[in-house]
Amino acid sequence: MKDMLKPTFVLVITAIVASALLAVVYEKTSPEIEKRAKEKLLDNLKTVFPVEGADYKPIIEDTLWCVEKEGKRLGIIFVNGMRGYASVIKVIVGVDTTGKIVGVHIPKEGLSETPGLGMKVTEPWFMEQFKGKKEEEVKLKKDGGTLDAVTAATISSRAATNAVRLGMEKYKKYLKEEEKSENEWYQKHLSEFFPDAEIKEYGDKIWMAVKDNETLGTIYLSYGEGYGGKFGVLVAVKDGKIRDIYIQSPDEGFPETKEFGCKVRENTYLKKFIGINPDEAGMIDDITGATITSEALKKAIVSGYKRVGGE
Amino acid sequence: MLKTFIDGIVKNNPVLVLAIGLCPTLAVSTSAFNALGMGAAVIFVLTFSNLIVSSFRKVIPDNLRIPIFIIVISTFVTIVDYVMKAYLPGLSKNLGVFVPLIVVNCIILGRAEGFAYKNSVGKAVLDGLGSGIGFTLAIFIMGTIREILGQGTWMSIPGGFEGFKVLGQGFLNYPVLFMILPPGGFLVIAFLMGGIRYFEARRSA
Repeated sequence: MKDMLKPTFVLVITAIVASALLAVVYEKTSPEIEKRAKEKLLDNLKTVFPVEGADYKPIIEDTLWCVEKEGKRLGIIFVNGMRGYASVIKVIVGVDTTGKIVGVHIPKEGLSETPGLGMKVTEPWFMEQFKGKKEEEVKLKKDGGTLDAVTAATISSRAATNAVRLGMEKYKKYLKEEEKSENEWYQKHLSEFFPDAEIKEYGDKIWMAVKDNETLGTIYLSYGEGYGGKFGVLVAVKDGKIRDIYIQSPDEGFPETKEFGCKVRENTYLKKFIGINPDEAGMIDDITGATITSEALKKAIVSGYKRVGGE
Repeated sequence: MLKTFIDGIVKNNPVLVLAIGLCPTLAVSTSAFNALGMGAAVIFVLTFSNLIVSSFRKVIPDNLRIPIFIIVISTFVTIVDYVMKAYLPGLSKNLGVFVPLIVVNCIILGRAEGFAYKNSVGKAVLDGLGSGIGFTLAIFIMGTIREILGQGTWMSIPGGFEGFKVLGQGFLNYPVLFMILPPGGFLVIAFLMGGIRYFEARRSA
């Protein structure tokens, strides 16, 4: 018995002391480590998009920021990575609202490309040449673009340029001030559903149309994920039945194709929805050639109505 | 007592004579500053693990000694890792995985098992310091040779000091690149070991 107890006891004590010690060290160092990481990040953001007094607001954690000054969007900064020769090459890129690169930074830390060859993508001359370039220009000269590759490190250079270009493509929709333009488009249409009524905000993206203390109906805004992207739908409901539907126009950011997706905006199709309960929108037929868009519309109507909670 | 200390540096130099702990030596000795950072980490871990192991050597059950050594060593390695991340982030990024890997560095486990477990606290600490400095010296010499030849600088610090331009501008533009790559590491360590054997053979002859 004693043979079993003593070793157990010793090991348990050792483990407890070790964990206690580590807990203390962690407590002391972790704020510092976090602070370093934040400082480093802000430093990097300032390098690729240097604007005096600008705010760097995160849109996607650790990936995407928008640069704003006095409420005006100046551009975005994104982080993107691409497999290089021996490691993933991470690029931090600042893009202004015209789609031109303001600055590119490739951090040395964590990069393990070949020293003296692939590592040279972190040299200033390589990063400088991205400045002012548009998406389609961001390619190596040997791939038909405008950038010089690091001699004898084509793979690393190509990975870095691809990371920049693909990132620009992926995040360019954030160059527009999405929320602002959204505000404009639906505000204008709210009053069209119930003429002469007063529109009162009732909840998040939900409005009531009131006239002479009498509720005429409810309007809600919902979004569908279509073929080309997100689009907004305004639905007016009265007595549990759809009274009218408005889908944002291409000018207002409707992203679907003209030939097919846009057909969901036509009155002949939208008429089918009028008079039914929004919960039953799923029963309406899809438009041939625009199934994804039609499905997205129906889903948006149903999910938006759930949010309203009936009437 | 002093002999224990000197032995760790010269006669029992872990890297150049005993040829243990070669993996981090080859990987991290790409620059003198990295080598110093790694050396400091190893000295710290080695000295303290030797101290603890030796102080508790009468309480540690024989059949449990390896797990306990590992707990002790990994605790100190984790402390080094945290502190480096907090106060020397550049160095920590450069050494990367080789700091946590000190846990399985055979120099440290070897000294704990082979020396500290059997000797008094004072001797164990001196042995830890000696072996640690021996390791640091070896890796620092290698880092110096490799950095000067392979990069044209000496003691450059990532994100800080640019380093002494030992061999002039021409060398900065066209350094002997492969000295920084793995083959350079093997070549340098081979010459160092060969040199030591040569002098030893001549002295005893």
